Amino acid sequence: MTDLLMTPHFAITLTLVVYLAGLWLYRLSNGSSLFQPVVVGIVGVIAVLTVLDMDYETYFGNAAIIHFLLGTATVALALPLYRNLSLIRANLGALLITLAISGIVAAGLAVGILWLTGADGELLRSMATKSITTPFAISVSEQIGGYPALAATFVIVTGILVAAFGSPILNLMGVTHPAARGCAMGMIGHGVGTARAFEMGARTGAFAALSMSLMGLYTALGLGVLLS
Amino acid sequence: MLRGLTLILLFQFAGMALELVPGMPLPGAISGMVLFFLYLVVTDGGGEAEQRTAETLLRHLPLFFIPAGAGIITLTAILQQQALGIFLALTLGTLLAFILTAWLMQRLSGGHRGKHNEGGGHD
Repeated sequence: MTDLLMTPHFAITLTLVVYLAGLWLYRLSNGSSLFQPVVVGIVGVIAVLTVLDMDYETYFGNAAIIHFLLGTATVALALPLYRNLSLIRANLGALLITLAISGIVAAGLAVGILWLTGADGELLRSMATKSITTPFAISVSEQIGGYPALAATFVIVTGILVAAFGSPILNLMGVTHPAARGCAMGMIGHGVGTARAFEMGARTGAFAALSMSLMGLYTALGLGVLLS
Repeated sequence: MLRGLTLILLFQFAGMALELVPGMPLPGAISGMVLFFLYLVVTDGGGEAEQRTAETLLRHLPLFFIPAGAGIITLTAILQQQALGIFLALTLGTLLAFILTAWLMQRLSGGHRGKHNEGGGHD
């Protein structure tokens, strides 16, 4: 029995089952940001590993093919970037200035606050990627010596915060331009914020999607130059 | 599907190869994305096969985070030790960066006011 649980067949099937359960719950909750399929999936895997008293390394080694495909899916992110190319070119100046400043502020503030409270090393490096899309954050934190799992957790929490509070804050601030609304949602809230931005409007969503990609590239490049 | 997947895997592999170049600041998968992007620009969107494969991969993007994300189970001690700092960095850091980004982009997009066809008051 234990041998059966130590196979890729178990680890891969488990991952797919918890993900599908996550998708189902997400639909059932009418797309609540709290019921992200990835959150339900991660909690599900952890629950099963705990109940079976199985160590994480065994699971991860056996589910390696799914982690490998994360890299493949990251390459595929070129497609939405390409499809928004005309929107990027039409707003190039504003986007680049906002990106240049927001990228530094988003990473710098989070790392700075954490540093002030006494954290160091790998933890700080895992926080630096909190506003970029999860696949980028995982590979960047692997590269710069953070904990990929912590980085992924910080990214997901950041996204959920932006999705939950972004729209009321924008309304409170009187920010009405779809470019500004989309940029804030996508640059700071990456994929989770972008999904929410599409509910706010198609143009807001498109801006969020391209902002997410640009922020990911800019932060990856910046951290790579600084830290590796 | 197979043709598209092969092509995207080739870009992933090329990105990994680039990672070996000394001083290369980008992780392999991200370099692979840049290469795939350049390919899409040069070929005017590429073929239907690679577009459909990319769409399929992206539709289930969250699935691929699960193995790495579940690793949080091995890091609970750090989370507990630094709980306050992590909480403040995530909440305060995100709030301030969000406000700044929205404000900055709104100022910089001022010239496009005629294009407001959605946004405020929507939700």
